[in-house]
Amino acid sequence: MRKKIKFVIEHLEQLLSKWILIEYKHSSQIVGKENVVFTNVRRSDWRKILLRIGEVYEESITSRRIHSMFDKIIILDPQAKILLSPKDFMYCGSIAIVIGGILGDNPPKGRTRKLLTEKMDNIAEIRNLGGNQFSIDGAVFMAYQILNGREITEIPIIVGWEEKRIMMGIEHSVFLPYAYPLVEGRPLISKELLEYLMSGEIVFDEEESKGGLIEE
Amino acid sequence: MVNIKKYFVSRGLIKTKIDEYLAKEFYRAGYAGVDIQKTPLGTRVVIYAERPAMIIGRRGATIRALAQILEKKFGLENPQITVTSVENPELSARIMAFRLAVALERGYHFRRAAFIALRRIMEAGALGAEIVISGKLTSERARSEKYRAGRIYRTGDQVNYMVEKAVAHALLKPGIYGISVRIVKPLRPLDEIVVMEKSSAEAE
Repeated sequence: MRKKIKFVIEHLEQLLSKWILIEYKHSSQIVGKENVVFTNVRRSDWRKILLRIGEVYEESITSRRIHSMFDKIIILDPQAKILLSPKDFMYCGSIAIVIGGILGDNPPKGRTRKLLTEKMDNIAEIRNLGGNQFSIDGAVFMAYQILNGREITEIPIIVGWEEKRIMMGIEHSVFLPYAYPLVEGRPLISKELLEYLMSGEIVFDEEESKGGLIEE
Repeated sequence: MVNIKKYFVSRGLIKTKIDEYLAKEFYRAGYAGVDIQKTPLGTRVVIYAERPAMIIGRRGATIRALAQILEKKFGLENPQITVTSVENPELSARIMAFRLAVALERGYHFRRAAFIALRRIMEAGALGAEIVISGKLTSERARSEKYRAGRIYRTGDQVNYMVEKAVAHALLKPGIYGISVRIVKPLRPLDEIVVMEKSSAEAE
């Protein structure tokens, strides 16, 4: 990968839950720790955690100090009108591909637009990944593939994924209504996340009403 | 001449409106359904609920207020309300959906509540049951979870008399949860054919 391209994940959630951290970790594994930047991480303990998987900044990408580090900024927003293509990366200067660190709603509420795109409308180029709502790691993977020359239409995706298990005669399944890129016929979801979703750990985290808030 | 189609559609509409109103007002009382019959003296309204006392109220105060609402708001003539308890509440999809909604509003985790509800339904003798809960918690992704046990009929005539389906909503701080319950009652489908295997003695 060219050194000048960074995947910037703007943390937009109020908490740093275990779910979002798993997606962040997986994103870092996909493109490499040195290519991931986390911005808008307000709490010092969260910065300490995220430092293990990428570069971390307290300020938002919308702040001048951060966005002036890059010559070109591309924001991935499902509501954008133009598709992301390999041509967007044919640029000599440094590029930031900005992905909203949001755990989405279904149907999407358009929070990336409200919290990110509208603030950087005049300085960034806004692109979409086909109008589907991807997970954070899925969006990173898609952008990485396009950066490596593949057209978006060449990357197979699946919209919606159901994970099943049988427990004491009861069939339990979790359905995630998001788009996932397919890798060797399987959706790109980290194994850790699937285990977390099916385990009792998520129940304890959600019962504490903290949404699995990570505190040190 | 009275337009017969319009007459029956309007009657159906009033029944649905009353049903929705009662479901909204008395979901904590385990409301299961309503029957409305026109009699020469007025209208007979039979309300099925898990806890009739909550609908009747202290010395019949709630039921009297309800009779007035049914008369004024929904235009029923001289409504005579009877509240009956449900024989087997665990086999009523509506009661179970409302029970789940109340449990979620009281702070139980939906996975825990759904497993308990499903086990209760199956222990009551249901052939099958399915619970689907969807929603979003703060800082988590929106998702839906499905819990299924036994046999679930989705097509065919048996669905009309064997399967009961209900939807309830639980309003929580982070947002709304949708709960859908489907229960297959312990009846035998009319077209069920059981193929008997030949015993070893007969086969010889």
